[in-house]
Amino acid sequence: MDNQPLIDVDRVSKVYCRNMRQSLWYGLKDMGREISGRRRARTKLRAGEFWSLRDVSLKLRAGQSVGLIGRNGAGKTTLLKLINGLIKPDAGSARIRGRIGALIALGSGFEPNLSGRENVYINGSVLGLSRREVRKQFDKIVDFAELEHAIDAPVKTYSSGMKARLGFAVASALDPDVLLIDEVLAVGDFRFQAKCFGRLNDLRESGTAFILVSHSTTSIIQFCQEAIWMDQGRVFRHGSARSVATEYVNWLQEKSNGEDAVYGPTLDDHWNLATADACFEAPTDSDGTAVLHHNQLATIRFCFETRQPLATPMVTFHLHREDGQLITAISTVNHPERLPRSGMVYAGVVEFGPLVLNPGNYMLIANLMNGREKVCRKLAQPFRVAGLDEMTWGLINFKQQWRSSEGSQAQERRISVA
Amino acid sequence: MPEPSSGHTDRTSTPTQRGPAATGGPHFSLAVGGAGAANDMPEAVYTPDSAILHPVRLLRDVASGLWVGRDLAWRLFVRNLRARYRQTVFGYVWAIMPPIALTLLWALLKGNRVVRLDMPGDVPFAAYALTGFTLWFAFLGALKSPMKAMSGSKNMLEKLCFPREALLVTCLGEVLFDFAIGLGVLMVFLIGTGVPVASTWWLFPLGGAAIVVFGFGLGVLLTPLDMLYKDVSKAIDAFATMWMFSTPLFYAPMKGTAGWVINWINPAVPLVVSTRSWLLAGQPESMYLAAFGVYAVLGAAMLAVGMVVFRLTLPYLIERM
Repeated sequence: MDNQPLIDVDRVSKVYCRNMRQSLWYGLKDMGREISGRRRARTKLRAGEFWSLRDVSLKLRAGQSVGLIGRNGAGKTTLLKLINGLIKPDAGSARIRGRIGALIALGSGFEPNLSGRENVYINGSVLGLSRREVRKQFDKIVDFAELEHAIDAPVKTYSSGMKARLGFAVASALDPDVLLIDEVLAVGDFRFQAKCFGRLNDLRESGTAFILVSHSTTSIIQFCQEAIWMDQGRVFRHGSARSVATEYVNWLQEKSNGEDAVYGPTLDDHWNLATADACFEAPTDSDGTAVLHHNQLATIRFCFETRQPLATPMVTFHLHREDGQLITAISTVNHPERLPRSGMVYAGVVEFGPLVLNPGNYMLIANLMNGREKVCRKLAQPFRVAGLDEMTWGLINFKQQWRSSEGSQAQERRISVA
Repeated sequence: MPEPSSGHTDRTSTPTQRGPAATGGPHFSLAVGGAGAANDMPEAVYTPDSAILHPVRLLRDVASGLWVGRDLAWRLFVRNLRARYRQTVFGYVWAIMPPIALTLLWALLKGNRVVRLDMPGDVPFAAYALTGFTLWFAFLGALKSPMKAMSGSKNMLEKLCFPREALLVTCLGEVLFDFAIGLGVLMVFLIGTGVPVASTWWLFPLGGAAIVVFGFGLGVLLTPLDMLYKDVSKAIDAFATMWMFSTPLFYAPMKGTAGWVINWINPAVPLVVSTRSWLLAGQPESMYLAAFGVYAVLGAAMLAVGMVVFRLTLPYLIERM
């Protein structure tokens, strides 16, 4: 059994030019160099050019799944196109083994005037299925798309949902070694989306490797083992899907609140106004996740150190659910005098609780502010809440006592008002 | 900086205090077991180096693209033909309209002595003109078709990887299909009006093939340039009429120096004149034969080189789509 990586992207870089005219001219020159054999790896940028990918490395083995997240223009789709063989790198190399499938541009090649049946063959052919493979899988494709009654009607009579389902059904009939997914994880209504996920899970279990580009961090967390946060063409974070995606979501939320993201992800940020360390005083899993217990007190041990003295220091710990939902904050804002400080070091513990949070995965974010000004924000530690075996809903769970009501009139009055 | 308390494990692989890592980030690769890959997997390596440095591999890739894409080429061919005239009443009549209409028009102008058009030999005007126009539109169609096919497939090209040579095969198929229909109409006309064909008529298909190969080869070679600068196809459209009139489609070829110059400058001249002569009048003059040979070979060379250039330049074109 061979465990060589299916995808081996080694320090790949790619140059793009924003200006249309310059881009065409450079294109002509580059084509000339390609034809004359003079093209080599690039290290310098010409006027108007920028690095859309810079020193990106990625290894993917069978059965692995990686998510690519980042702002628009971060280079995710460029990396995907490179792996798909559509464009050439300007530096570095990419070695791709195995059959590549793509869940990109569903329904490509569809001709509206032809029937769904004919389009299945065309689209299948574009995606790389042989005529025999399409014929063999035809019934399964139509069945998956739930279009038995409409398969012989011209595609222009289909609703957009039907077209999307057919496109997905054909694309998922592939059995590739690597599946590239660009934003299209599932289409159709809720029930059909469950089918899509089911199909992708089947592929994953049979050893297909995945690269998923998505703006939905929940999908990334659900689907991928690792995630890569790309920014301005570089790999900014590369780690477990959960931690990278949650960090990204928190950063996005901060940006969308209109506040200056002191927690900025660009490489040019040189902020180092303070250092922060915080963690729960609790046992941890092997990956550092703290294990807390429902309905018990929790303690955070922290230490912030600043380079300059702060006039009105304030420490706040945010507790976030793993998809970014803020649950609550533990803060010195209401009692600033209680923040332990010694010169430019703010260290101590805070005890809070009881923890009414439902069992699940959460993140602890540590913040240090000076009045309204942000000094430091850090993802301190993921934690999970355990110790409750009941059915739960929503974010929190209260202790409940159910009994029959007899007697007091006050109680009856309350009930009738309700 | 104070040490973290015991029991605290540094979770993130790059500390956020310092800002993100200066290099491309940690090289994280889980060595998960899982289904192993078979050793006979297709493998592709993408590097910045020019693909022409490995000519054997390049030619093999082109050939493989043609072979693997044959089913796709056929499907796209059928799709395009059926889609073309779906929403029309007259369908394929439109494909054969131009040569017929132009022949009728010039016959009318000649008949009313608006223009004087002498024919070489005893070839009847209508047969002469219709053959000329049919060959010309086959040439022009072949020239424009690769550029149109590429422009029309931008959606597929910029998102999916498939044997791109299939697109070229498809549009060549469409060109030949249209040519076949035009020839069919021509044959019906010649037989119907009882026009005698020359003894060299069997060279006519060879001439037709050379015309299509030259037009298509030139088109394929110009396509990468056209994908960058639309001036190419716009120039062809702008000058098509002038080019058509400078070719003796419905008039006898010029004589003397002018005739010689136009024969060598305008590739359509020797290609059309020779082919038509073979069908209607017999062996053409040696000047036309010589130029025909040169352009036929040039056309085949352009087609071969064009296919290779097409493959080499595609990544650069896709980047800019």
